[in-house]
Amino acid sequence: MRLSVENISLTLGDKKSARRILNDVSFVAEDGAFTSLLGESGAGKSTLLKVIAGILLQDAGTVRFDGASVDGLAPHKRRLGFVFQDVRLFPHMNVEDNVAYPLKMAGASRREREARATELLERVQLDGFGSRAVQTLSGGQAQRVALARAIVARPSALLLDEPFSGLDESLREDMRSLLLRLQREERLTTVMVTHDAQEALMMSDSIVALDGGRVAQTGEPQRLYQTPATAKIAACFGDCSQLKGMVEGKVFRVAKLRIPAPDLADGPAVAVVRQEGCRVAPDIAGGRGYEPAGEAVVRCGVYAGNTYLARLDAEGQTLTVPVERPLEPGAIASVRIAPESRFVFPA
Amino acid sequence: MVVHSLKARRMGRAAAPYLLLAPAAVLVGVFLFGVANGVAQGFGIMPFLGMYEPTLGYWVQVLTRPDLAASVQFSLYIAFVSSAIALVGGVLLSAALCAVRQTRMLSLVNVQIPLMCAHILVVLFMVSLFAGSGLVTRLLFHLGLVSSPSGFPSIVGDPSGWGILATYVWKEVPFVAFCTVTLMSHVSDRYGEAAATMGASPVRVFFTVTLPLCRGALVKAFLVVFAFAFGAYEVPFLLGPTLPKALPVLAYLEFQNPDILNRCVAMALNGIMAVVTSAAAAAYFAVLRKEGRRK
Repeated sequence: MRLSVENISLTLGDKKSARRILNDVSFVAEDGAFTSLLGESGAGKSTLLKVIAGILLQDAGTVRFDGASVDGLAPHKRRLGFVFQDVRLFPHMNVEDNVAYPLKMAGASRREREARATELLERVQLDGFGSRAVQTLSGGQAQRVALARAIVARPSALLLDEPFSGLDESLREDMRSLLLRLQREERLTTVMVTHDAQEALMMSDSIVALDGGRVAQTGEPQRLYQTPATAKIAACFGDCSQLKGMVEGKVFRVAKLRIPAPDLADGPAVAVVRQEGCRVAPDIAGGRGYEPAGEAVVRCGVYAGNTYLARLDAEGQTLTVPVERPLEPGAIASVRIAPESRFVFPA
Repeated sequence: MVVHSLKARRMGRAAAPYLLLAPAAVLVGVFLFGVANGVAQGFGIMPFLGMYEPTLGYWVQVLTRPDLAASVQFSLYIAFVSSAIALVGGVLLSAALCAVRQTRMLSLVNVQIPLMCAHILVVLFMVSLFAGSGLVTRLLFHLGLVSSPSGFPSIVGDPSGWGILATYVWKEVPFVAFCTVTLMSHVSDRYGEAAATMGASPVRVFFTVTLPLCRGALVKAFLVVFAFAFGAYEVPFLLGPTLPKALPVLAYLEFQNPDILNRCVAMALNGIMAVVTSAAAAAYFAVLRKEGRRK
């Protein structure tokens, strides 16, 4: 199913504390594609998911399934699967009854419900768990049950609200693989809310980046990673430093650091420098792909496991650079930055 | 020096729970003394009258009274019917408050004001509405729905006890709603939302998710109302029929008898009430334990 969201706006709260949560949001999730809604806390991601599910009513705009508006449909008539961040397994039902619940609501026979629930539990690697009370499940197992429950009735689309945020990193990786496998097997149009940019990069066919209730950028993961539209998007992919400075003559300047900004007019600006593309001169004196970016004073160095990190001072701000050996505080470091790891935006 | 202060801190921490419990322990102690005194009086022990020998005589006298069975039956009927109606009404009121997101004014009118009113005030209010000269009866008479103001079943003394039931329902529906609305609202927001995304209509959400998850709170509210309606005397005393008298009314009349020895009879009657309300309390704690295990 092709899911499109067109010009959705929504204000929540009473008259005194009304707050615009979504502002003219539009995007399309193609049939069978995996789309991530990426943004920091308060960006409006979960609210948008609830609007798509019909739980919240938008003030303006339309949600369409395969081109047809579903604005007049109550949540229970939209044929969607939903996985909540806090799982929400029904505590008065066992695992099998939880998984079979959507089928029961759809009027399926008991035999059909049992067979399909058993099949789904096997597919999420929980065979034999049907009679267990949900209170006895671990976090990962509960999230698997929630996933099975969301797809058991063959929904037209699957919506996931930060489904892995409560899990350990190792469990998250397993769950991501499981979700992607099920999504591809079922060819399910999937929209997942996440604040984890790496997760969005790894799992998505397309990403919708939200900021302050607006769409900041949409596109394939490579596009958002390589040509981010805003400083926030640039900064969300991995470890990076953000520096405030001025653009003068197509060059961003802060302290003695210099970063090319060919498309920007003179004025205040923000530079985002990804750690992976930033080095100091002694480490890669003539390294290919790294361009000189001026000098900075070493404030301190920290041990970070597989490397050391040098904190360089730039007018009170910090540029963090991976280094091969700890640098002396007060030393002057020549900074080099790979062009694909530096971004400058108007402030 | 350090060891001493550490020991003092340890002792302080160990003693803290007992010190905090002390006020409650005093209250419980007074209550238990009253109960023990009442039980003893039921067995004819009244030291202030020089009666020290226990006897089953007063219990035998009470249990062989010709009006006892009818009184117990009437009290059970009042307690059961009023708590059942209060339960259904409370669930509906609670569901309605959840559906409209219980605005402050609605909550005030529907729950808080009825809860604050004393039973005796509600009795006066019911009488002013439904007695022979009451507002409702006169209105029905003017509408031609009853042949005379006295044609309406009397709120005072009617054998069906409908006046007592109406008073309890008016008071206890908000009580049940008060006991359940927070839980129901939480369940409805959290699990109801989930069920709706799985194809459950609002009615099916209510019956398959909300109601089962609120069952414990509802059973507890029912038991509280039942025990109260069974043991309270003022409403049946004011609105109840001459015969059969509700058990608490019977006990009250015996207690008020000029012959002080009748106090032993009253306490034996109270003993019967204590058995029934203790059963309700036991059921209440069984529900609590079950809920605790589930968590």
